[in-house]
Amino acid sequence: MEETLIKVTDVKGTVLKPIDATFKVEYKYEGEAAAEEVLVGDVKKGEVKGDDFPAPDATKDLEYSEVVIDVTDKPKKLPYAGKRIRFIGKVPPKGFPTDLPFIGKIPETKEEKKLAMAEKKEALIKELQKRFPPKEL
Amino acid sequence: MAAPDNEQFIGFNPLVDLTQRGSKLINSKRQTYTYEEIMSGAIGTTTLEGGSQGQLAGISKLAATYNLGGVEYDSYNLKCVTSLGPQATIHVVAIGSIEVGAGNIFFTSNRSNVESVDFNGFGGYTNNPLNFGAMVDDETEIARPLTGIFYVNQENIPTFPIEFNAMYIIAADAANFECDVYVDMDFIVEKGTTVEFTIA
Repeated sequence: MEETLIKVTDVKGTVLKPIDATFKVEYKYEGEAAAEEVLVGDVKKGEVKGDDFPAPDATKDLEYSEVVIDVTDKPKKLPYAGKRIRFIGKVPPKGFPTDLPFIGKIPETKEEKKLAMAEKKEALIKELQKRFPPKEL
Repeated sequence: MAAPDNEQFIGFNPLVDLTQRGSKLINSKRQTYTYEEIMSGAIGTTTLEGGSQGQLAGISKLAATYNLGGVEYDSYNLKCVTSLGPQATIHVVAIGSIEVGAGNIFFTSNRSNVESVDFNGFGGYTNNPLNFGAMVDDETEIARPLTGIFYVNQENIPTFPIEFNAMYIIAADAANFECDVYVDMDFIVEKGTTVEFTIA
């Protein structure tokens, strides 16, 4: 059964569902020069799902595993930066939150919030007009 | 039976802790509700303030809490009353923003209603759930089903934290239309987190 392997969240634990991001998981073994990519793909609705993280090579000593989240569409949808998260001597725990750092602006005044909502409204109208053009009264 | 008012329901001195039969809990350890709160679900009065598009909107905390797979949630209600007019092919109303301290918000119930006039059709007013297919009207004052899109949108602002949820009413059709909208939706948030509403 598929489970949540990676939960792409902000530092408050909120799942960043609309985020456009890719992920990769790397395993680095003792004595080897470079890490090996074992899993790669797109983040879907703020999550990476799968049966489990790949089992490390039992004949080698795992130095660390690393999860890399690359935000591909900032700040069009959400203002969060990518991140590398390293787990020493083990594979990542299933369902861990990524705690991506916020790189936007926290609104401080009501006017700022109202202005942002009004701008978004105008953007929505512009998009809707492509499919539903105005009609003469 | 006449509905008792809040005072009648309380019925004991609020300054004295009473023990309940078979329980060691005292009242200060209990969550108590007034009759009004139990019957309506809302705690306190839902105050709808006026916004920049003539909409009236606000949120109120509900009595119900949820435990979903070990995670506890508080529940709230969003209301908005507005007119979509004058007639046009597109109506977008910014209701306001719901900002939570932490966590996602999940809308668990939508009882929103659309009211239109049908004076020159079958007569009177039409009332339908807010969705495509809801009856809308125009200058003919004959109601007809809207065949485009009609929904309440929860959207993030690109530069703001994800905990800022902007709420919009979005309605569009190939032909001009107008109607009145009554948004009534319940949502849940992580228990104990702050919830702030800002009218648009």
